[in-house]
Amino acid sequence: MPTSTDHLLVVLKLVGETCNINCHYCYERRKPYDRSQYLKPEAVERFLVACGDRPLAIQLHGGEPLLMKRPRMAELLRLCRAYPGRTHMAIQTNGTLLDDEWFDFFDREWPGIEIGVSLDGDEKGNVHRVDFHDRPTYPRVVAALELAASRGRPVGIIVVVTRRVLGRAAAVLDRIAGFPAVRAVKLAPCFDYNVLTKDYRTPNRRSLKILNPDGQGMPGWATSPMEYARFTMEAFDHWRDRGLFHQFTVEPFVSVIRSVAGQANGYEAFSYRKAPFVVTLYPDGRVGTTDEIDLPLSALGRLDDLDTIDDLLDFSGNPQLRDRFRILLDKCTGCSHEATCRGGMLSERMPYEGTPYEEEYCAARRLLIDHVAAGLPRPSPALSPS
Amino acid sequence: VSDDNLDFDAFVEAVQEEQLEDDLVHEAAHSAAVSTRRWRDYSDKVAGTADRSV
Repeated sequence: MPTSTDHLLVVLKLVGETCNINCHYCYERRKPYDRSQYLKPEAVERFLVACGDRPLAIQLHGGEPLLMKRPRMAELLRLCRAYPGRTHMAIQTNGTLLDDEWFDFFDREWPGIEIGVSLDGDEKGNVHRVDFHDRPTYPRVVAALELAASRGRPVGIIVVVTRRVLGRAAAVLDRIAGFPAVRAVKLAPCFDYNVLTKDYRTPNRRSLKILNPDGQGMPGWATSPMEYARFTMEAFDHWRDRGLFHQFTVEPFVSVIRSVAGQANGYEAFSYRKAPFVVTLYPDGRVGTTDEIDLPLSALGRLDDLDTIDDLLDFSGNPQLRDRFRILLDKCTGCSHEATCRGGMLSERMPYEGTPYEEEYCAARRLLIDHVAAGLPRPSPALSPS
Repeated sequence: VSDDNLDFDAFVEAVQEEQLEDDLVHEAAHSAAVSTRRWRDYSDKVAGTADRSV
């Protein structure tokens, strides 16, 4: 649990689940939202006051955060600039709206902002990232990445590892290597299990129904932990052997490389700082822990009742969730890989509790860690401690 | 031993030597926006290693 001086990851849901595209696997669009809203400046101001002056890593998120009007976002950023503690600012966007005007805006309002773009590798891998008519978003994201390169703006990308990329890790990384702006890649697992797709009246609701007919088991886009591990092991070999590390970092490899050396990590999946260090602010005033866990399961309280963020961080508003986290982490005791794995992602482990995938999740992580560790340079015998 | 192998050794060393304890790096699974500056640090280190080996 965080202390009163620990830094937090703050996820600001600028526009809630509102998005200009309709990706099949979107977890935000599965959450209960009453209506479309945007995050008001008064709410952000109140939230920041409650945070005191502890350091904050702020993540602008959605839905699609670039759907917020620029003057509104400028107001939010002004409030963040006035925060008395240290801050790091980042935004995660689907990239389809990222144009010169937005780059100019960020250059002006927060030049150091880190930009993450969602792109599932190559065109074939990106087929679940579609608009409301199931039309591909790939060409628009490619255009945004080319624009970023032309402006000398480095970006990170998330590759959600769905079934569409399995067995094609080399091709996926080679395609990404064709984008000079990309300096960081995250191979994000897609372990959806027993997830219920909301029945929005969108033109592509039929394909969503085919991919996830009844919300039982694994939907048509998801992979098992072992499939993900095999993909990432293949990706690691290619990234190392083809010298792609010259061009971009890849998670989870950087984290594993650090874990085996006993170093701290920023990526939650290989860090001791987990969900309790993440606070999400929703437009309607709900405050939750990591947004990767569904609501109301992840709810911690409401902004209206908040004097200090410490009131939420002890999970007094959701002791059941705190207990589930503890039970999960207690299961790691005695594991051969506890010091390197560090418990994985709690949001990924929770849906697997009591299913055969619970053990597979751990076995897959052990396999991946061992594979990466075996592919690292060995210390010279002369330099090794005797 | 190829140059790429030597570079990878230097890359791994840069990654493992980076001190994060006082940093604001915290990445959720759904974010890729935090690490680009870290790449530059690693890249500079690898380039520096290559320069020294000349």
